[in-house]
Amino acid sequence: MTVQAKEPLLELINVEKSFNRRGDTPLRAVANVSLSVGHGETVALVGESGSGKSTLGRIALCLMPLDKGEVRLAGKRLSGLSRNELRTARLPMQPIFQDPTSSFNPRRTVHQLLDQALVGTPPVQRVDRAIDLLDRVGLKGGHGLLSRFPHELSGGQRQRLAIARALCMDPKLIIADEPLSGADVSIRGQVLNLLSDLQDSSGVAYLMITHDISIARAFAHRVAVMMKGEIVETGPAAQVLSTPEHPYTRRLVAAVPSLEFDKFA
Amino acid sequence: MAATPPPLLQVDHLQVAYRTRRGTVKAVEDASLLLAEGEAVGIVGESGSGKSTVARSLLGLLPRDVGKVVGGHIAIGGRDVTNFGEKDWETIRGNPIAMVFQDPLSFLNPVMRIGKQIAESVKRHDPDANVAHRVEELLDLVKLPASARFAYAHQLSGGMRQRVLLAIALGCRPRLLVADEPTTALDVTTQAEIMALLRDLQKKLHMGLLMISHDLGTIAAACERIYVMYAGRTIEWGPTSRVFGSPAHPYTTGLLKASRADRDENHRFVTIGGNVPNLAEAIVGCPFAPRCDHAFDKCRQAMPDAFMNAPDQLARCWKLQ
Amino acid sequence: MMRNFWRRFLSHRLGTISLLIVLALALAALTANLIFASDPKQISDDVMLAPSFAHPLGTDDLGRDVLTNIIYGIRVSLTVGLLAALGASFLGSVLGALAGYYGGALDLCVMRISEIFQVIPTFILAAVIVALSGPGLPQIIIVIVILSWPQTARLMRSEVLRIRGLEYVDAVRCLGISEHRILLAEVVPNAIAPALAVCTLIVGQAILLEASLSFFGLSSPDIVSWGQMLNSGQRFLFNAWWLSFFPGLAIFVTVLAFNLIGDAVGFALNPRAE
Repeated sequence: MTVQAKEPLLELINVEKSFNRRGDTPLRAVANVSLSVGHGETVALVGESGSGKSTLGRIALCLMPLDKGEVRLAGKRLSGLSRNELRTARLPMQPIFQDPTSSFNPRRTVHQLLDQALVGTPPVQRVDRAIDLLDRVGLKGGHGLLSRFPHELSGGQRQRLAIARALCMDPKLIIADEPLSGADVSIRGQVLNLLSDLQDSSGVAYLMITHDISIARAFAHRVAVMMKGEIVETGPAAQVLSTPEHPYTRRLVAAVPSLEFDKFA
Repeated sequence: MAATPPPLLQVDHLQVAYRTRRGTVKAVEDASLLLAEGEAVGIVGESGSGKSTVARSLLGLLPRDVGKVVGGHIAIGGRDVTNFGEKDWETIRGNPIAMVFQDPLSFLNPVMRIGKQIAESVKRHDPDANVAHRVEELLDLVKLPASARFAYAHQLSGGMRQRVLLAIALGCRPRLLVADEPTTALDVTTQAEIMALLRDLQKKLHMGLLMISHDLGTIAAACERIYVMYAGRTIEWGPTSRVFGSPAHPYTTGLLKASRADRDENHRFVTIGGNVPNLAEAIVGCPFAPRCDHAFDKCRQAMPDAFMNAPDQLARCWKLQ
Repeated sequence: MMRNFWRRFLSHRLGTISLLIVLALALAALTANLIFASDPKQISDDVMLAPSFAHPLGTDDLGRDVLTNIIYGIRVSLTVGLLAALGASFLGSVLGALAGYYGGALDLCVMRISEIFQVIPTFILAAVIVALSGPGLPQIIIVIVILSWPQTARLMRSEVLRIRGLEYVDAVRCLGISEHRILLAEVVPNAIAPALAVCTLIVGQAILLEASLSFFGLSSPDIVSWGQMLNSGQRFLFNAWWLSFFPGLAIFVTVLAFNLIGDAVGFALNPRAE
């Protein structure tokens, strides 16, 4: 997959964010972070708990205001916009969240959830488009599936539904926060292959926030390693995660147990 | 000739059923394992494999009135515990068998200092000991500073809490420690530290370790022998290097490749298609057959017997016949 | 969704029975003047009669039929109860939802004001207002609304606070939907269950409050009310027990019925319970 060498799709420029704590110094969740995602590229944001990666993800989606810095989408500045302007300007960027259980309004059926997301599609075409999208993410079930509620689906099915919903807007960028955390290891590949196919066919870019280094190494083009609110190392994923330079990245990579064993006859 | 001592843990064709609103679910259909004194053994499996259920049945921790052992035998240190009642379990728990769990925060008393919680464990199993001294000893064993005994659970990091849980378990002087997903809730760097600590403790104290996890890497790092479980059955077992180096069962192969994020010839991520079978329904034949690339007719008719792939490595797969 | 609600509601036996009782009471109240030829205020010579065939619940010191008065009294109780509860729930829900969702100064204001009303002794405030503005049903209803909206507001606010942090709200936000629509369409429907259950409790509270005010003579004498009947009956507690017993029983049954309906509503609104 060649990455187009244009201006970046998403740019986070010198982003800072602190949280006030009662009776304590403010917590610097994100400290002067700059990160970019190119068109059709997959960037993995890797870090442990408390690194600030989820906060950065929310700031990138403009769901959380930043203290300093800028968020730009396709060259257009998002971070200073008014509520109304932001609502339309942000549309090419869609989220997939970590917890498939709270990702959906429990009172809405699959049909209603997708219908709500298909704002750009004329109402008459929405059912067909919804079924098409469900099919694309591997959820066979057609009309029967449309009348189910999210809590009636399995965890893996909900994760695919989340992807389907994100696709409703024909996004250029999907920001996924731990998209594989709900699924068993043996079926992770299904979701990864799906995401890979979607990228090949539609050129969508991914910002994947994860703590799992093996996924980042195998799936992402580039990786940014975050520690205590700062990005300590960036670069091509395979390179950085096989031959890391920064001491923290080294510790992180060394901590992942190896699954390479000598074959026996 | 001196009689060989009985294995520290022996599980024979264990069956466990849960009563749910939808009927009876067989969480464990046929699980067998052996653990010798001082040995580190792992059980690897995903959701629906039954591994946690097996762990809990070893200490009588199945939910009362809901979960029950309905077949097979469990013997700890030679003693048959299969039909133990609550009173009998109280004599076994802690010593010889102790357990640490996944989420230390839920298992520690939030309003009691951890030193006191460790002391509780010591007093119960070591009534004559100098408690304060022993608590210090235990904290040292798990590599926590002595001052930690004054801390409350919420003041400690995840890794430190897990060490406290270990200290409490070790206060019982167990011969066998069961660790159910001990590092799943922890960061990867902390995971590595706790795994190293477990290996260290196991060797130092010549303690048996039964580790349960869905993470192959964690199991591989700690255990000499492993059992792979699928749909409530042990389907492959043997030395770790063998089972992971040359897996015999197609499920194990798939699991390994998926864990490593391997790609196949078409550059696609290796995955196992389909889903785990519904345990509420009886399964005819090999439970993995619907998802297996190598399945043939016999697989769908009868549950495979165990066949040898190598001297210590066995798998329940008709391919090996 | 509505069908689901009714199916679950009707599976709650006590709640369904209570609903039937309330409906029966309402029906009786509405058809009162058709069934009962007698005017409740009609005095007669048959004073202080114990319950008999002609007067199933007895007569009072002015010869008025107790049963007729009980039936007419339903009107007052249900009217006050339902109007007050609806008013308090609506006001409380709106303020609570806005406070919880938008936070900030609005939240602070609403919370402090609601605390004031929760702290003032209910009966005293009611008595003061009625004493100043004169007795009458509208005054009583307003008093109850003023005193009861904080309960609903707090419940609504805390549910809204919990829900607005859920991921699906953010997901919908990214679809370009306005904040107002998110509050109305995504948050409130999931937040309203506890508030609805409390609404029925407020009906009970309102009926009791109206009865108390009437009991103390703070109600208009033109109104036929169970509380008033208790007020008149208390003097004759030992020689004419039926004058206190039946109005008291009526209050008890009605308030209990509404409480049980509240239980059933809470049960029926949970979308995930099996």
